[in-house]
Amino acid sequence: MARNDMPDQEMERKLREHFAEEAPDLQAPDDLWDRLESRLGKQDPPRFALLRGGASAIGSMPWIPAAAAAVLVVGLGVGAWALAGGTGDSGDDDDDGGAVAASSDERVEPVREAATQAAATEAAAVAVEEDANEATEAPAVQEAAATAAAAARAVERDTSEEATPEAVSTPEPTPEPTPARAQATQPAESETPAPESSQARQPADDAGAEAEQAEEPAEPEEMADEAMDDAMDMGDDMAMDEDMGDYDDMADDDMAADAMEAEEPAEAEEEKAAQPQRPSDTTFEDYERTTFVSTDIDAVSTFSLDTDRTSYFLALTWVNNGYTVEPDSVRAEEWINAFDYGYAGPGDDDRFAIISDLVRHPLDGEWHLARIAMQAPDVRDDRPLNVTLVLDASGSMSWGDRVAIAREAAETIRQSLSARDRIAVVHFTTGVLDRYTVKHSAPDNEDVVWSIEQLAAHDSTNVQAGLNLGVQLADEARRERPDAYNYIILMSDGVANVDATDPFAILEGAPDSDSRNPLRLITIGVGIDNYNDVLLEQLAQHGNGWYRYLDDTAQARETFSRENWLALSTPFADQARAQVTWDPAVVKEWRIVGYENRITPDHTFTQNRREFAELPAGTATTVFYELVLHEGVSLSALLGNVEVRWVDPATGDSVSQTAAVSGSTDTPFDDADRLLRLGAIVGLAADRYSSLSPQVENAAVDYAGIHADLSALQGRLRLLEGSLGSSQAYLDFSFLLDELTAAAAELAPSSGYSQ
Amino acid sequence: MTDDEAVLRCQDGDREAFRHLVEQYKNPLYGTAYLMTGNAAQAEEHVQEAFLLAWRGIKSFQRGRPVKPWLMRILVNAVLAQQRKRSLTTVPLEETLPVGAPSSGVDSIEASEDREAVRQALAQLTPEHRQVVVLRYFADLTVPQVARSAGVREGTVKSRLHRALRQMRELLEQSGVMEVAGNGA
Repeated sequence: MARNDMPDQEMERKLREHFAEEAPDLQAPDDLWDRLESRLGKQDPPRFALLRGGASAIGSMPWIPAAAAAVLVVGLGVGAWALAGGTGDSGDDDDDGGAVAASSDERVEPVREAATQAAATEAAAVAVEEDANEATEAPAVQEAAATAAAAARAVERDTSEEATPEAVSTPEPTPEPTPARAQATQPAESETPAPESSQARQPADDAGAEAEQAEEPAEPEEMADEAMDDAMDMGDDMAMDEDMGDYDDMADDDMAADAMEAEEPAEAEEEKAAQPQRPSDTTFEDYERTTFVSTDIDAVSTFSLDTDRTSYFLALTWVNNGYTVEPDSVRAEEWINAFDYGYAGPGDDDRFAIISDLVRHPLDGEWHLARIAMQAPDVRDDRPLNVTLVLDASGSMSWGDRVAIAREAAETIRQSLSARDRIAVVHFTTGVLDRYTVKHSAPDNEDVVWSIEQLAAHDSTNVQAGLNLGVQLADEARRERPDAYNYIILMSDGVANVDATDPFAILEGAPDSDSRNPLRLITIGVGIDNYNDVLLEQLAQHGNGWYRYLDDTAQARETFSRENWLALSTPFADQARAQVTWDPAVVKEWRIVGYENRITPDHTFTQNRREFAELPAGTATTVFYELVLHEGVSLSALLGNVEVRWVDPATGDSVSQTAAVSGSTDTPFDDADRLLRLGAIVGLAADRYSSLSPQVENAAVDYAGIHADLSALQGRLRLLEGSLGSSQAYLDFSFLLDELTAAAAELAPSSGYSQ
Repeated sequence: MTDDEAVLRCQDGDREAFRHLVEQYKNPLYGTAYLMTGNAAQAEEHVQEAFLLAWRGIKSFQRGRPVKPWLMRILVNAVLAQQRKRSLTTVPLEETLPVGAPSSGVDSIEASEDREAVRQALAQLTPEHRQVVVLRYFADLTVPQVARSAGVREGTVKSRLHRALRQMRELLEQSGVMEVAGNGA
């Protein structure tokens, strides 16, 4: 008998027997439940709540353009996927930053009763802080609060140095999943006394010790780390197995396949249990899907450019944590732009490289797919930066490692700044925590370092208050240093619940009055559950900035490493948008893939609007159009033209650039450039999946068609395995597409559809 | 109480129902975690973590689905992440992993030797191969479930299982616990 024909079954039996014998000795502790129950908290399990239309006005707006982000490095074939990375360089040394609210000068020497003094000073700071919170627009009050807070900071620092290890308690780790409403009811062992709560007025003797506890940030569970580790591991596994030179021959494979076939039918039902779940308490916007448009009616397509990629990385994080991707969270343009297609630069520093291609549609032989890409040059600008960090210190940030990620990102940014740059820090919760406020200072200023280190979770979330002060500080810095670019970086889970919670209201409450040298609002999202994607995306889009999601501390370090930061912080184009005009004699119908919330009325194209995209240097925007061409079109077709307009950030001048959109009408999809094919599959998969609406009864949703399209795209993607299979990006997306396809079947109504 | 009833009650916040699920599945989860980590404390922590995550997600759990594979997926994610982190700073797992239960001391000498031989063979496997073996034959998951739990493709699971079993057979043949395949045929 051939050796390969029988050992498996015998070994399988041997192993089952072995484990059966071992099982009695592998019992969980009897009191596991008792220990577990104490960690469950006092809350009910969180309820999945898709807050469709949570930002009420947004969904009804016919146009909502623009935000941008930079290419983080998703090198396919030409570079690294780069999800893990090293710490950025230390910031260049410079002077002290004397602008810091007098903290250095007024620092109190350590004393033996430091704890008591700290408590007293803290109480004073809290009192001032409360006043300041009630009138955040009043600079004088802010100044007073900052001064008092600086004194409190100094004592707090000194007190910390004096404290014995036993005196500093480490709060119980809090897993990512703990729901928000639980935070309000849980004891304060992991929270700093909230300035606007009764806790803030505790007796001074207790307050000192409490302050010590509070400043110790929650030790995070490492859900996000795990997710990305899983993704990396998965890729390694696949690469290893598929590259194995000594991979077993077909007979082995067939044998295993036979074994599979034998067991699958009986276990099919049980297998469904492994279907992932959905994240809870998340807020997304279901933008209306675009449809085909006849060029007889409208031959012009106008949209804001976009290089955000948050939607893709959120999805990847979810599937790696066992969740289903929420269809409303999928913005196809962000999936497309999450990949680096290796476009050649423009050659000139003042214009885009505009690339267009045409291939046959992978899902319909009668259609075509046009790709238009706009690659910004990788220029550098020697203008200094004013950076204002606005850090969410609310209770929901205690979940998982949100605080750790935000702190890591903030610290990496600080280290990536040059000596000519300035950085300010604002913490906000129910209001601004003035004791941590540091005005614009040199990156190596010790108060800046200290303030970032002190980020911790406290109370409820008042994004408005944080941004108000952030804008105020940034505006002051802008006036003092008019030659600098101004970035406000908001790090949050977006769960605003105090004061204004709508992105437009928040932005109206913190207006930027200088359009010639605008404040650029970058939003950084952290967290999986209880996450408000809409708020963060819209704040950036309408705040002249860009939006990014950070999954773990390694990604935070990579994203804002010195090298990446130099590109991210160099704006190449402000208010960037594009207009494609199809030739009605060639193109019969067209449909843009994704970009639903970037589409803008044609007449706005000539207007400079701050909601259009800000594009950092070196970034690319790719857009796909599904096209129905007229019959008899020549092989080499001029389909139309694309015009890009933007504002030069350095000069404030409006700039325009036009290029032809053309391609061969007879290029089979599978013969096209591999990266074009990957981008098309990514975009179409996201586009199809995003049209699923599991939360509403919608008989019009073509579940069967969507599932069929996703399955077909799986097949197309497999054809790229030979050329891209070793790429982590390919492996990640392949896994994601498998999950989407499975989920599409799961999300379908139970009646009227079968796989 | 059936799992389905327990899930329904959990979704209403019933902790006793969740306790029912914990008691029902804590042993297979703990055993899997122990066999993957070789450390009782770590195994318990991973099991607690998995149940905490499950409590969080229970309201979105679709009724009628089996609970065990879902719990196992959560558990494996936690264990794998921790192993990867540890592998950067500690000696290779096979040098420290007992890969078996603490001896109860009641086996016959022969049985004890056999069990020890299997344990040693398991310990010789790579962590990736050992993982799929544990999930498949101890946790009793199907190949698709193992694939989903481990975050790899079914083909990868199959090839790993095949290689792992082949390696174990060779080791057990060398130790005399199993007869050399083909002998006497």
